[in-house]
Amino acid sequence: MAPLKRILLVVDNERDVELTLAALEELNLANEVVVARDGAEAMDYLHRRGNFTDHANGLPVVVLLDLKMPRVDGLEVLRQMRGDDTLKRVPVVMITSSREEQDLVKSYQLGVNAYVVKPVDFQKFVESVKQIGFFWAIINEPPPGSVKRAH
Amino acid sequence: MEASTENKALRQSEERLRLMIEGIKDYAIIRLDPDGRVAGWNIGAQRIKGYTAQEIIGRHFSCFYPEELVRNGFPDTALAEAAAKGRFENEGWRVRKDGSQFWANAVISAIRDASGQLLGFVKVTRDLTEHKCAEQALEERDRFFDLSRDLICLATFDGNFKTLNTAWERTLGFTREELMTRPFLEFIHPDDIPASRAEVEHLQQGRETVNLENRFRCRDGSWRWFSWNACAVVPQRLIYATGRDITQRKRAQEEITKLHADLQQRAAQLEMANQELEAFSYSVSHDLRAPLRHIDGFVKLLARDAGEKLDERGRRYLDIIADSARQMGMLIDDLLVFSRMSRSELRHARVSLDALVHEAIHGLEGETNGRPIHWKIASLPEVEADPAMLRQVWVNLIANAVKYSRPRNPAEIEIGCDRDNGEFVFFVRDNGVGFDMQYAHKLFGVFQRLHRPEEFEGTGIGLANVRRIIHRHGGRTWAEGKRDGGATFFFSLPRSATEMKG
Repeated sequence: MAPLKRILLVVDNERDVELTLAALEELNLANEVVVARDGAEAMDYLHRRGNFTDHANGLPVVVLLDLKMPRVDGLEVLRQMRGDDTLKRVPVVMITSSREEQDLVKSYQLGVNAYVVKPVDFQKFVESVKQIGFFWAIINEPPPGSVKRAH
Repeated sequence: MEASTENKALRQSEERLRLMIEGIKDYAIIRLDPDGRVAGWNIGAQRIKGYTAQEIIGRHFSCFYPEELVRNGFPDTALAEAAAKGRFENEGWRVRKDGSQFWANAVISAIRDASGQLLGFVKVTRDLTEHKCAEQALEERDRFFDLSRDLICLATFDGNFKTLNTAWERTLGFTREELMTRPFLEFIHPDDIPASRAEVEHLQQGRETVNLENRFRCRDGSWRWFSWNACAVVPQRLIYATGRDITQRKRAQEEITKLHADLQQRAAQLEMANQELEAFSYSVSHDLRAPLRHIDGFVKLLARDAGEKLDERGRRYLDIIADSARQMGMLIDDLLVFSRMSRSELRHARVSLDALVHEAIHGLEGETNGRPIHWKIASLPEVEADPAMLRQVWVNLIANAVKYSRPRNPAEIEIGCDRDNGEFVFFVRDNGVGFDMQYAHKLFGVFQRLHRPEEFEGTGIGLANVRRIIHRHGGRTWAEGKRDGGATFFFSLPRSATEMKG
């Protein structure tokens, strides 16, 4: 059985994955991350189906969600999660390039927990990702049913 | 004795005849001598012409004719013809004693003795004025119908024309006979027959037709539109109808309908173009920024992991790559702001420009601190506008003035307003480096710059935003300047809120 990961990172672009992991490395959180490359894969992981039938029961402490992705986009993942009894309490943070007001408004309407616009400057990006990781994976007490931190 | 008795009897007979003639009232019976002078006059003549016998006896009969006929020699001609042929008859206007005219039928007969010697004439005149007037009234009525541009007709309940005015022939090109020999429904456009037939049935029940529109066939095969008003006289089984040719109006209407459809299509296309633009800027916002982040990210990772292996030049290259990415990021951000300025809805409110200008200057303190700047700020009015957008205008213009007056000691920046006809004209003037007027048209273009980045920083979007915002408020923007001689940027706003565009 695959080890449980505490952070679900849903990003389609592999360079974004690499940069995000590079940032989380600085907090030693990189190996707590499982990556889904689009919304459909993310939902498969959360529902333990498709390629993800073999991981143990347990919800991530946070889902880091990109907005624009092929197949099922970030807003759709959020909508499905908020409509699902087991998933609706899982914290979701949008990490996106979009400053568009419509995306911001829709995300909050669907119940996002935080909305972060990725800075172009890498230093600032690293800072943002570190703060997000630090807060949601270390400071914040996740809802019951979430994967426990290995001590 | 016998002869005298005979003579007496003859005289008596002549006397009776004379009395009889003189007593006739309905005819003017006038005796003329061979030259045309009046020699005898009856009651009828007095009644019709107005002269007594004493007044007229001995006068030439031409006084009965209108002047122009006399000038043409008509009376003499008439006498000559009567003398030559024994009789002359004609109808025409004649003149009474009081100058009034009447329509007369007159017969002039020559009188000759047994040897053929001309003794004179008898002129018998009837007053036919009433008859003539009735005739004229009929003529006028016919003319009334025939001059009408509207089609006028009587039609029978069984579907045939009974009477038509000439407008039918003129408008449709058919002859009267062609029209009269066929049921009128045969001339109506097949698509309009059901409605027209129904209308005829309504008419037969005594209902009026108001503005029934249908098409009639012309002889050349084309169709013309008519608008009909009609009513029926049911006991006589007759329909009275008038139709106005509305072909032009119909064509204009069709044209309008077509234009309207075109316009709607254009609007839809525009809407689609806007949506595409929206999708485009969305995609710019998301997709263009990602590679820039990647460039910056991996350059930084490279610097961190391999920086020590690089020499000075290599590290400088990395800096340039990162700086270029950042530069492009700024351009993209500016472009997005610009596109948002164009797309987002205007929110109208009462705005104090005094307050906006002071906020703008306050916001620029980072750049103005420690610099010698003489501000000259006039009192500004309140306007109806979008506060956030107008703040952006002031920030951009004042920031420019601050930036381009950097080499001056002291810098002078003047802000003011002229109240022109129907509009406010605002300006921001500086004594900075100015610009060459031949490039003035480029100032407000997107990403147009008149200075190199190492002289004055900036992406060239600020004035484009200013122009876009002011245009959306129904105003104009322009600039005046001189190389090294300062610049003045103007914008106008309409004074009445109703002139503003959304």
